[in-house]
Amino acid sequence: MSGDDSRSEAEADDRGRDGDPPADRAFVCRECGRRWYYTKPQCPDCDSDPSAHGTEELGEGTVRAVTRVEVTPADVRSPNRLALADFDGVGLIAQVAGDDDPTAGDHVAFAGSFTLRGDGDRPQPRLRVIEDGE
Amino acid sequence: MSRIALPGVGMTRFTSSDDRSLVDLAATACRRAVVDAGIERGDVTSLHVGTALAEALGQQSGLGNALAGALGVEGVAADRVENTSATGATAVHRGIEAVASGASDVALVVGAERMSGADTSAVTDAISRLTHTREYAQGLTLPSFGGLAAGAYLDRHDAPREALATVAAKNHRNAVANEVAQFRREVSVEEALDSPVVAEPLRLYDCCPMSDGAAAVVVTRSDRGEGGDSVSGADHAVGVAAHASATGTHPVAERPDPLAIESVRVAGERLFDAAGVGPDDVDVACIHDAFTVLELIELEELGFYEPGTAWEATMDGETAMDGALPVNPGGGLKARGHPLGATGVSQIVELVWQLRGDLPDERRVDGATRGIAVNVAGFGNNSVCTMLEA
Repeated sequence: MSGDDSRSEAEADDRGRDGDPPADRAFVCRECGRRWYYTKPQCPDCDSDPSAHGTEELGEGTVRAVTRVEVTPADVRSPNRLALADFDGVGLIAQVAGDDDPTAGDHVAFAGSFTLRGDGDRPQPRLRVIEDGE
Repeated sequence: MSRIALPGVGMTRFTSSDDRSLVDLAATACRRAVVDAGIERGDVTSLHVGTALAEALGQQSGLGNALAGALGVEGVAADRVENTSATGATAVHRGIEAVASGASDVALVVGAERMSGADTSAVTDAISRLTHTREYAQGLTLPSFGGLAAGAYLDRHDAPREALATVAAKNHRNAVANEVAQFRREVSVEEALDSPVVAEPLRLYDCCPMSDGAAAVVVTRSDRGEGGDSVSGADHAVGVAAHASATGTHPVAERPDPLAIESVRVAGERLFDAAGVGPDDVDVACIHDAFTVLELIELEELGFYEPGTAWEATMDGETAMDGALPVNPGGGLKARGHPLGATGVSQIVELVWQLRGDLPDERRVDGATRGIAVNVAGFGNNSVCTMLEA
């Protein structure tokens, strides 16, 4: 897991339309160290503004819940396999790559390059099951 | 003692497609509530209008003002309320607060939605937009959250999928005799189990439909009228014992427990604290069953059942019409239908009918004197609870 000391120009350019970083990165507050996933206008702990927020790779997480969505919007793949996973206290829901079929307790990491929804053609990684020791 | 009373209610039948405009639907429900209350339209002093999707679906904007004109009550105070799928209950709360504060003598609250007014993909997208942008990018829909929660519930509590199907079968059975329900047809547990997958483990019959419809309620004070202008019968009408709401996390994955809907728990605690009663004192409940698993989770969050036990109670018949706690006697969102802005008001309409006891025998919860309604926005973004007493 690598932390960024500051928001680089390249990182800022990698933000999507809504200011969201790539799917495999969490926010981190340089003032207090708090990490979170879902873009916010201020740190949930110390209220610092976005100029104090960097991002870092999420690394490896643990699956807590899964679903396979068969009825999906026109611009979303079908079926859409999703996992709710915990990355060292940072929770998120993300698409699962390929034919991976995780269950609760499995370990996952982001990998690959795909097109998600509503974000132009910006490539994004999906969750992939990783075997112990991988 | 003065209290907030609901002397009149009315609604349209919820359907998959109603040809009437959004304004016409709302006006029809309003007229029925006004007649039911035994008042004249000129008695109304404020109008509180809930709709969630009107603008997103290219329908009437400024619905409150358009409705005031359609009803011929220009001059009243009017506002529009939006709280996604809890829009209706929030509109009711604004009406209650307008009367309680003295700002309004007779509040007319209406919730309305016309989801057939756009193609399904447009409606689905409009609803999906209530998610966080990073949730939206993953293609998340409301049934996606339902599937994740349902899978976690069955897994953690070692419950069978029949538990979910039993909720669907019960609510469809309750709707058969409900003249304003969208689906007046029984669905067996087997049918529910065998219906197509929407979001594993949720099947089609685990999910509420898209609906058109409107529901309305008149709110006033029970002691209004010492000056001779009372709403007739308001002192005997069903009253509001308490109302409370709470927001939860916007992104679902920020919750410490995927099975916890904290907004329901907090709003429920506030409701019971304000009313000075507990879950054991409730005779009938209208629970936001947009997905069958939500009925189970919400019953647990509200304290009716311990965590992980609502499914067994449901399979044992405790939440059926003849059970210890009848839940969703009108069919719930599942079978009465779920026109977003109207649903929360329709729960109040159902409770008023139940507490007045003026329903046919097969529709009535015998002897009910206290009921609660829970209307939930998003997948727990905001929960809006109301307690009524006969």
